[in-house]
Amino acid sequence: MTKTATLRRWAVPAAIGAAVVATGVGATLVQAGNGPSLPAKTAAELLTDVQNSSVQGLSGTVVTSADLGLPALPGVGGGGGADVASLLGGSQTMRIWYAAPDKVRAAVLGSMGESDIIRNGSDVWSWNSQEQTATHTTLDPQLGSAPMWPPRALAGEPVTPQKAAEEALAAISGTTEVTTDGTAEVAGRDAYELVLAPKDKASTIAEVRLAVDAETGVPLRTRVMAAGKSDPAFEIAFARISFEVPPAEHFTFTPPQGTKVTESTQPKLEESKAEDVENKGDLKVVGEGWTAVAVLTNGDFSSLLSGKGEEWKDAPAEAKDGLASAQTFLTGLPQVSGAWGSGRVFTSTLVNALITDDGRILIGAVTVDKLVEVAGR
Amino acid sequence: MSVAEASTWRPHRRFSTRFYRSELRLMSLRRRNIAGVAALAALPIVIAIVMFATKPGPGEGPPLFAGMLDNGLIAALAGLGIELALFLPIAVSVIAGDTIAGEANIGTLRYLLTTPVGRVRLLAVKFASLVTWIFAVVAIVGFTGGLTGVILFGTGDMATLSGTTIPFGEAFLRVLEAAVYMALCLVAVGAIGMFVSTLTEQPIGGAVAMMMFVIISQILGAITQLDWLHPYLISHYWTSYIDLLRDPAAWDQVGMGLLSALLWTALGLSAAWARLTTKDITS
Repeated sequence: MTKTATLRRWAVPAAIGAAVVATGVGATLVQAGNGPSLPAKTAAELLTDVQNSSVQGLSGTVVTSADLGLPALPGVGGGGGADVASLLGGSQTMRIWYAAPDKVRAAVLGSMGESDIIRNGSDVWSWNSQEQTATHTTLDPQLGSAPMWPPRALAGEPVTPQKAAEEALAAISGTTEVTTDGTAEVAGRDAYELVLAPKDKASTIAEVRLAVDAETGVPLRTRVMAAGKSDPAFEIAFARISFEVPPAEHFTFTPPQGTKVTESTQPKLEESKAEDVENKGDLKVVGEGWTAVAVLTNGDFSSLLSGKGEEWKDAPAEAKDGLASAQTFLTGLPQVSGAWGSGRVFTSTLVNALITDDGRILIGAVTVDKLVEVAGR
Repeated sequence: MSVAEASTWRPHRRFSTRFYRSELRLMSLRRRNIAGVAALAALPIVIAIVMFATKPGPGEGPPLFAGMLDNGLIAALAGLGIELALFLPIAVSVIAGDTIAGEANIGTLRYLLTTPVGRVRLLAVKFASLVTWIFAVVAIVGFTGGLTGVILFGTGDMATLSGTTIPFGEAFLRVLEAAVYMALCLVAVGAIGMFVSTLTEQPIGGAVAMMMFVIISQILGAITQLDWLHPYLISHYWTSYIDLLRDPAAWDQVGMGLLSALLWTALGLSAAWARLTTKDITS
């Protein structure tokens, strides 16, 4: 056997290997190509399309990926779980089905489990396969007939979609630059790119990019770009979409044997969280639009920082451990100071927070400089 | 590319499965291999019995096993799923490592090739019997697990991960699909293992190298900072069989897994071919 013949044979596995690397076998499920050629559209026309989007039904796979620059918190994300909290970090896959405004199902896929939310008429079921628990909620009859999607129906029916789009543009044009930016291919479909960019440079968000399906006007992908970063800080996109109406059996849910079923009559919105905030202290919002800063006062964080707060007294051992690690975390944050006093800053890709020593917490999608400035007001 | 045989003399003969049957007999009747298969088949039985004895409540047992209490077929998948992480790849590594290096080690490789059997035919027969063995082992492990499960827990409706229930017939089909998927993933390990086996004359060396390859792949797969690398790892899509237990079954990842297994198999086979047809056979 000559040397060339030997080399020629080794070329076969080498070529297969190279082809694998080159095509990046499923490097990502979201196969997004560069834009196809579509007739040009203005931002207002695109917004009209989004408003007008009415589909009889759809089903698809949605992939979210987040690179929020958050520190790894123990107990958040990770594992094979399918919690909604896992949407906050890394990548997550969801499957969704939509057949009518009151027939909606979403499933968050975990590597060893799944959690589902199914709405069928006034029945809402949530299911967690890992804990084998289900929650059944009966919606108020009035709410029961209100559609969850498309969102425009919640804000009242617009006069005409064009007018609504123009109004929407006018409403946000003070703070936002709305432009179109070519086309994109998402989930194998042609789409227009609509770009919303904050005018205030204190925002940590460079722009929000929406890919709007050219045919139906359904947003196929949303990307939040952080200032100074080329990869999206957050992305939610269809990896696969079909506009066929899913069969009715996908919206029926009967908890399997041995499931712990909780009955709940109140729709569990974010009410409880709002209460928590009010109990802890006063909430004030400074500024508006993209660079709004939430200011929490009367917080007990200074006592937490010093380790002498009330939380320490009657707390069980586990909670004390939690507080201790929170304290270690907080005291490890970089310090800033000004005429207003001093505090510690927590930074991430999109959201920054300033915890002042006098017990205020300032949070916003704004630069640290802006937070410091607001603190000094 | 034209396939040039190492020897230019070609025998005229009818298609025969004798070599394949003889290989299969050797592979399945070796006492060490029988002992290995028996150990693999025992694990799902043990799991099913432990589950039967302890009967964990909702949310207490391991995630996949909860459904076993209603439908015993899950025991087959629970057993296969656990063994797919380590035991099955190790078993396949050992068998694949033995294919070529085993002959070289006892000095029978050159005799095989002078029978006369072409090197390409030798590879093809070795691979075919390896694939048969893999499917047989997966079937045995699945069958013993499934049978034990059905005896202990009955044949009720199977709860899917999505919280719906599917009747026994469909459940059986899902479990069968998942088992075939796992077997195809293992074929990829076998193909790479066969290539490693052409590199050495020590079958144990080939087997250990292949085991390390699989274990390193699993370790890299667990490091989230290397997520760009994960789709290329041989073990990345192995756990996607779980998607077949959703309702409706999610085929996205399974399809990617099949593609990945196909490419790894093609890589292993072509490398084994390039190596065996060009090396000097001295033993």
